Amino acid sequence: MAIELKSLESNTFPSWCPGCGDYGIWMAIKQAMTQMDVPQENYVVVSGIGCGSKMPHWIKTFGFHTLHGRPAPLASGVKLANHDLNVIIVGGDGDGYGIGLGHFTHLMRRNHNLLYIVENNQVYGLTTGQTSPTSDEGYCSHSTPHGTLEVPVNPIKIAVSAGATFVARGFSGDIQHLTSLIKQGVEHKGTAILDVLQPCVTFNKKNTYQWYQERVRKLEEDKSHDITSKVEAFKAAEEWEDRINVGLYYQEDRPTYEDQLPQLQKGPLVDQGVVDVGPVLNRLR
Amino acid sequence: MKEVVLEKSTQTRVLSNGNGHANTEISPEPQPEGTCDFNKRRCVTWMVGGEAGSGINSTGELFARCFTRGGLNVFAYLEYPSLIRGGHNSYHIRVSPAPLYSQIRTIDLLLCLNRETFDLHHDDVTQNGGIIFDPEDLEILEDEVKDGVSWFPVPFGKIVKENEGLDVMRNMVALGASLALLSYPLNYLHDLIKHQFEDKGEKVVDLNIKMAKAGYDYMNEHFDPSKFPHHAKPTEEPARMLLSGNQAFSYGAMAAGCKFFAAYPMTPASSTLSVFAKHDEELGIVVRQTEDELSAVLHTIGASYAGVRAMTATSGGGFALMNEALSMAGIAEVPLVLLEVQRPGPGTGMPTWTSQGDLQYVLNAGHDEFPKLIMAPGDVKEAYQMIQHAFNYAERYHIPVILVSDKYLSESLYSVDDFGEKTEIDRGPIAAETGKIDEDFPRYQVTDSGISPRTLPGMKTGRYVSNSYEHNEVGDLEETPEMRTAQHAKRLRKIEELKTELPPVNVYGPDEAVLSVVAWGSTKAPVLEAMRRLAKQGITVNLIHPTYLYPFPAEEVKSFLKKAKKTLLIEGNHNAQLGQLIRQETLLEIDEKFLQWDGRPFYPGEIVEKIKSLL
Repeated sequence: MAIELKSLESNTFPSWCPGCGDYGIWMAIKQAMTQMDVPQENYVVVSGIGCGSKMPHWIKTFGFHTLHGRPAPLASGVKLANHDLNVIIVGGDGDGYGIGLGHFTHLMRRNHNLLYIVENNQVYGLTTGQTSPTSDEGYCSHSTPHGTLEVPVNPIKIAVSAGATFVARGFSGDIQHLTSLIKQGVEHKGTAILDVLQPCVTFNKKNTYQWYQERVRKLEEDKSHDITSKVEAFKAAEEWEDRINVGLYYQEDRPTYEDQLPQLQKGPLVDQGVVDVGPVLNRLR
Repeated sequence: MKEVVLEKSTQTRVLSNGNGHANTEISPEPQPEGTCDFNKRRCVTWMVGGEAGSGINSTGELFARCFTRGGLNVFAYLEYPSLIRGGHNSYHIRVSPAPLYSQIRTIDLLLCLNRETFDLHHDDVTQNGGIIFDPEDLEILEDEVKDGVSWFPVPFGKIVKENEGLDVMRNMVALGASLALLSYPLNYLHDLIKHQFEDKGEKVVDLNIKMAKAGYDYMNEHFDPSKFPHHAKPTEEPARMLLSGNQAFSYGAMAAGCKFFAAYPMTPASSTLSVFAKHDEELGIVVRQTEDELSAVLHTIGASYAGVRAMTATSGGGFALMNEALSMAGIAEVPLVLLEVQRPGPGTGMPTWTSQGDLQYVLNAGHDEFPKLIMAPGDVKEAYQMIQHAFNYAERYHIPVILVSDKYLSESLYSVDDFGEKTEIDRGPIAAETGKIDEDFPRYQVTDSGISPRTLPGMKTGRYVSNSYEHNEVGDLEETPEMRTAQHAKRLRKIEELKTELPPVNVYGPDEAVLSVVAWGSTKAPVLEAMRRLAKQGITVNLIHPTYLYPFPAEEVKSFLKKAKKTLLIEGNHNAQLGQLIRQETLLEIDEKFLQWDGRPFYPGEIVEKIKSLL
C-alpha cells in the first residue's frame, strides 16, 4: 500500500532558511516515497551533519542523524545487518565530498543497494558560509577571502570512476524531475548517487536559483547521451560554466554486495539465529 | 549499590589458571633453574628463532600444538619486528603437565635457524640445556657455548636435499629433531601435518611427514636423547585447545551471537579480522574490512542500531580515529562492543610489542561525558567469557563497552581445557510493536534507571531518530537547558545502575600476605607465576586484579588496600595509570611501583626479585 504524504509529516517544521534548496529535496523525497510500494517503516534515512542532514527529523520513518561526514559507513552497517531495509543517505557536499570523501568513494566500490542523496550547495551553510569542496575555483568566502585556489571536486566523475552503478544529478528547483530521479535511485539495484544542485540562499550569492536555472539541461532530452558509457558520463560531467547536465549520467547492472554474500541468502542477518561455536572451538584442540 | 564483601571474594577467587575458581591450592612452581624433571610436574621450554619471514610463527605453533594434543599445558610467547622479511622472530614455548600462567626467561632447548638467534638468546639457555642448529648455516664455536650446555648440529638443509624435499621444509626437519631430543613421540606432529596440509594434496603431506621423520631419525641416530635431561611426555588427559587472546575474544564474541565484524587491519589487533573472516559463512557472520577505523566503528554502530550484535577491534592509533563515533554511540545510546589491543605508542610507536599505556586514554576517550564500561581480561579464558558479558551489558544499557587487551595477551598462545558454562544471551530492552508508524516513539524516555527501551528499524512501530545531537525523548533536536540537563543525567544514571551488578573483584592468593600486588590485564599472568615461585620460598603474596576498570570498584579495592601490609603496583606504562585511577577513585596511594614500558611483558623472575627487594 502506498504511503500517504500526510503520514510522512512530522510534528516539527524544518529549520531551514526561507527559500532554502533543502525544501525542494525534502518535498521530492516524500513525493517519491508516496509513489513507491515500500512500507513506511522499511525506510531508514541516515544523515551526516549540516543543514540538509537534519532531514531525518522531518520524514516520519526511522532515521539516524550521525556525525559530520560519516553517514555512508553507518548506513552500510545498517544495510548489511538488515538488507530488507530501504536505506537513504542524505548529506551535504561538505559532508560527502569533503570530510567524508573517503567513505563516499569506498561506498561505491561496494555497491550496496541504497541511495545517497548529496545536497550540493557549494558552500558550508551551517557554519556560516565557508568555502566547500565543490565551490567554484576563485570562490570568495570568509574562509577564502582572496578566492579559493583549489579546483572543485567533481562528484559525478568520482562516482563514475569509483564504481557507482547509478550516477545522477538533480536540481532542487525542479521537484518533479528530482522526485523521478529519487524514485529511480531507490528502485535501482545497487549504489545510486544523486548529486542535487541546491541553492543556499543565505550564503552562496553566486550559485543562485537563477544561476542554475539558466544552465540546467536534462540529459534525457539529449538523445545522443548513452547512460551505459563511462566516457560519455565523464564528458557530460565536464560541462559546468555554460551548461549543467541534470538527469541520469550513468547506470550499470552489477550484482549488489548483499546479493553476493552467501550468508545473506537465507534472509537478513538480523533475523538469523546464533550458530553454535562449539565445533569451531573443537578444531583448536 | 550492592555490598560486596572482599573477604568472600578472596575465598572464591583464587589461583585458577583460568580453569574455574575455588582452587585454594597454589600449583607447584614448575621451573626451577637447571634440573627439569618432567615426571615431577615440571616444565620444558623450547625456543625457535630465525629471520622474519622464515616461518617461525607456524613452526612455533605446530610445536606447541604437538603438546596440547598430548594433553599438556602450553604457554607460547612470540616476538617479532614490524617487517615482513629480515629482522628476528622468536617463539618461546613452555610445556608442562602442571598449569602454566606465563612465559619465563629461560630456555631448555634453543633451536637456532640463524646466528642472531644464538647471539640474542644463548645466555638464556639453562645450564644443562641444548642448542640445535644447522652447522652449514651458522658457525657456532664450542667456546661460545656456556658450560654444561650441549650442542646438537643437525644439517637441516642437507637432510632436506637427501630426502628430495623443498627448502621451505627445513623447519619440519628441525621440528622432528627437537621432538626427538625431548623424547616426545612424533605421531602428534604427523597428525598435525596431515591436517594442516590436506588441502595441498597427499604428496605435500607425505613429503612434510618425511622431513619431520628424517629430522627425528637424524637426532636419534647421531645423538642420545636419553642423556639429554629435558624431556616431555604426553599425559592421559584429553587434547587441550590452544589459542591466542585475539582468538579467544573472537570466538567468545561468536558464542555471544556477534554476527557482524568490521575492522581495519592494525597490529596487534589484526588477527581478529582474519579469525572472523575464516568462519563467516559457517557461522553466518558478515565481516567487513573497511577503508579506515572511522568507517569500521561506524559500520559496527550501524549494524548494532539495526539489531545485529556487532563489534570492531583495533589498536591505540585506530582507536584514536574511532573516538568521535564512540562519543556518538554514547549520546545516541547505541550498543557498541570495541576491542582495543594496546601496543606501545605514542604515534606509530612499536607496532609488534606490548604495552599497557592506553588505560587512561581509554578511560577518558570520547569528548564530553557519557556512560561506558571498560573491561580488561587477564587471560584467554577471561577474554572469552568477558566479551560475552560485554555484549549483554552493551545491549542492556545501550552503551559502548570497551575491552582492553594488549599484544602480550592478544598474540600469546594459551592452552585451555574448556571455557566452562555458556553465558546466557540477553538482548536488552526492545519495545513491543504497538501503535502506528507515524507516531513518534519515546526512544530517549527519561527513566529512573536511565535505560529506555529501543526499537529496531523495520519494526512496524517505534519510529524515532537516533541522534548524535542532543535531543528530546523522541530523538528530535532540542537544546533547552531542561532537556539537556535531563538527557545528560539520564545517560549517566545508567552507570550507577550498572555498578550494582558488576561481579566482585578478583583476588588471588591467601588472605594474609606480606605483600599485595595490584595489577590489571595481561600482567596477571607473570604475577601469578611469580606468586607460586615465592610461595615455594615461603613468601606469601596476593594479587588484586580488577577486570572491570570503569565503573571502578572503588569500595572493594579500597578495603583490600587498607588491609594490605605493603602494596606493589605492577603495570606496563611509565605513569602508573592504574595507580592514577586508584588514587582518583579511592584517594589511596600504592606504596611501591614496578613499572616497565619497554614493549616487553613482565617476566616472573623479575617480579620475584622486585618483591624480594621490598621485603
